[in-house]
Amino acid sequence: MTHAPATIFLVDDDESVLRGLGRLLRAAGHATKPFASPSEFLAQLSGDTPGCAVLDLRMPGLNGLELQQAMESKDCHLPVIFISGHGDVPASVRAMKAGAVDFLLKPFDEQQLLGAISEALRKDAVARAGRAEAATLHARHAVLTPREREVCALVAQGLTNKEVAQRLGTTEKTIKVHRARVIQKLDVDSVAELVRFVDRLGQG
Amino acid sequence: MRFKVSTLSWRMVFVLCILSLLPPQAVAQEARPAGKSVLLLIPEDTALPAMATLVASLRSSLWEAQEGPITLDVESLDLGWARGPAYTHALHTWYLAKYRERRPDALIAFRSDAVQVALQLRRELWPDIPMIVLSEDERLWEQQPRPERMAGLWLHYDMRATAELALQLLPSTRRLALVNGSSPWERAQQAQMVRALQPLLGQRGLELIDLGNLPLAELLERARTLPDDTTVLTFTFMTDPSGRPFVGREIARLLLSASTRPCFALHDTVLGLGFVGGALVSYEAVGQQLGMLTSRVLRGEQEEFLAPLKPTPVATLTVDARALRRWGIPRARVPPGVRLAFDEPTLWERYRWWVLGALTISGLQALVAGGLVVERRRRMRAQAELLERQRLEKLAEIEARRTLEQLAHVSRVAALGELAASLAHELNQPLAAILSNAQAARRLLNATPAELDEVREALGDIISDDKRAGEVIHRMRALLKRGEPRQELHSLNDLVREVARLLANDMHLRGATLQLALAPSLPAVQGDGIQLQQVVLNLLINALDAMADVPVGQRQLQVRTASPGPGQVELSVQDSGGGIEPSRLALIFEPFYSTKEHGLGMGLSISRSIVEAHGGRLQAESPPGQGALLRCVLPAAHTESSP
Repeated sequence: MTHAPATIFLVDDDESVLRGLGRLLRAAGHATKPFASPSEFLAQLSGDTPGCAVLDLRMPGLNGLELQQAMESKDCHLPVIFISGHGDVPASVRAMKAGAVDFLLKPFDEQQLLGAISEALRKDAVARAGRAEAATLHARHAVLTPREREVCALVAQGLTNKEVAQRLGTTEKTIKVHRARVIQKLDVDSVAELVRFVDRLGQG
Repeated sequence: MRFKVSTLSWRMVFVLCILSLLPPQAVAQEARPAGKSVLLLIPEDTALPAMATLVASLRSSLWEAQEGPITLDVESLDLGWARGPAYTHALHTWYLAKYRERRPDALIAFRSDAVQVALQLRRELWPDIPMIVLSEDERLWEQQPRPERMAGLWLHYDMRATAELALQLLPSTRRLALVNGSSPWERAQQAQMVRALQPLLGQRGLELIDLGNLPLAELLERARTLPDDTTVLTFTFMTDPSGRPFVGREIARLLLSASTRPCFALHDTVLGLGFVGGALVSYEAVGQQLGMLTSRVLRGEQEEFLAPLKPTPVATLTVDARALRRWGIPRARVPPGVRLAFDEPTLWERYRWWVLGALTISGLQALVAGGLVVERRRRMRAQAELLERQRLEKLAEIEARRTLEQLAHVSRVAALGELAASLAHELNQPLAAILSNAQAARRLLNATPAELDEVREALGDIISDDKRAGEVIHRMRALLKRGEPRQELHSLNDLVREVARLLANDMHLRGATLQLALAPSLPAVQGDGIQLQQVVLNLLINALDAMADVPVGQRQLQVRTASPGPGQVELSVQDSGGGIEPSRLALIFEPFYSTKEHGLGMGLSISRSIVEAHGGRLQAESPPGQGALLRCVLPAAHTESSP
């Protein structure tokens, strides 16, 4: 879990809405960054800021869904809440399928918005923590030699030293040495832990 | 009246100047004209019905009785509103100048107040001519010193006899209301009449309601609220307390329509207006009596100048038969000897022989007419067919106009329907902003310390967003309105701007840009603003639709206004779409022709009808390589130019 302050990115081409939302969220104790156009937002995007994005669905130039894709392609994984002045069902379905946290119809109540935002921030925090853990695992895994990685993968599959040695065409004794190194480098206590590590690495 | 005063005073000033230039002998020299000359002094405007009747009757009576020509000059003293020593002195000077060449042979004066002025004038101007008076004040003769060479008659305004008549006709009367005006003479009359009625009041135990000397409005109000057992006796209403003069006959009408109770009068000039009756003085008889007496005086037959005033038989007890019916008074109550006016025989009684004759003749005519009927009927049928055709044509025209109105309305609603999503968006935006700001403000107020500056800003935003939403609705409602087309002057530029505002959001969302090139001084156009806006709206929506297939950056809409020739105003709308095929240029104005999936196909058709109904034309062009260009030319209104 990271404890850097979360920022709500607001993108809406309507200045009044942008001001109103900003004011409401600040009054509710959030830090906000308003943008009047998708391009401004994309230009300032940095992937590692915790928070979420509140995007207007219909904007000239890039619409909200296109913007969401542009964010993904820029490796920005901020959870997205869409807001819209239209009761446009197909658009809302596409938005939810694309992983939006919520889809709010204007005018919406603060409870709806704040609920969606806390949900988005929670998701962001979880995803961020997951990503951080994965990064640690990868870093640890990265120090293994190519031969040690092979041994690690096969041990994690549940093969005995003998079987591993046979697969890799070497002696059981050599494999034992590799296995001890792997356990030491990855900082695990047992083969069981090693199996879990490889599992998480695979997910991350 | 005021005009009259000023002319009078100008004349007087002029005469005074002339007089001051003349040597005294010249004034004294007097030429005697051939024939007799008589000067009549009356107290009121000669145009008043009583005065006019009196003068006319006196004149004809003098002509009848006198051999040879006789001149009657009439001077109105306007005593209702003008009096005082300065006034009398001015009159004196004025009459001296006016009658220098035309010295009257006799002076006639009517009514006691005029008599007093006349006596003074005679003393100063023509001390030796005889004077004939008709006075309602019998005590005139008791005046000391007694005026010389004066013959006279007593005109008795018999309020008591009138009251007695009223009591006989309306025996349930418990109150007598006495109406009178406010001139000094009228106030004196009122006092005298109250005195004259006193014995009767005491004898019958009646109450007197004094309605003298009241402003007109108050008099009418009192008349409206009189107790049920009241009978109204009226005399005159020549001036109100402020001295404003009135025509008695008109006041009588007002009083009669205001009064809830029967009214009686003393002048025959108002008989027939609705008064029940009274001892009515006939001014015709007054004129006649005066004429006869004057003739006798002029012929030297009247020697007894010292005899007291003789009463004149000029008043008659009269009852209006129609008023009797109006108040439900049985005819049996009318005392014998009382004249019954307007007691008309029925039409049959009066015209019996005429009617019988007419029936006979029309019977004969019917026979002749019978022969003509067949011929006539044939002609009538032809005529009826013609009329029917004309009527149908007219109906068709009205129907066509109404149909255009209805279609125009339907098309407006449809056009706005196409815009509905955009309009909803345009409304939801400010609503969302308002809600956010309001909820933010609530949180900010609950914070410690409350962030009042921020709350103030939120409220400011709420207000402007609310106005923005209001404007959207206003513009939409203006176009949804349905009603009779109106003929008003409009600035085409304003109409275009209004529609452009309405479409702004839609254009924004469609990624289209609008270029407005509006001519700075354009003549106004005349017509129905809503329908003209509808034309602009249709043209713009059409142009936007035409650009649906064009990439977002290239959707350009150019709207221009111009004055292509004298008396003409042009609106052109050019899009950057694919244009219209030449073979389809004529089709696009056909009803139900549409290239759109959702379109009614009525927009351009109705727009053309509207433009043509405004005396203009609407045409489409498609210049190669450009989009479609729609031109709407309207005649300029003839008056002012719009900015």
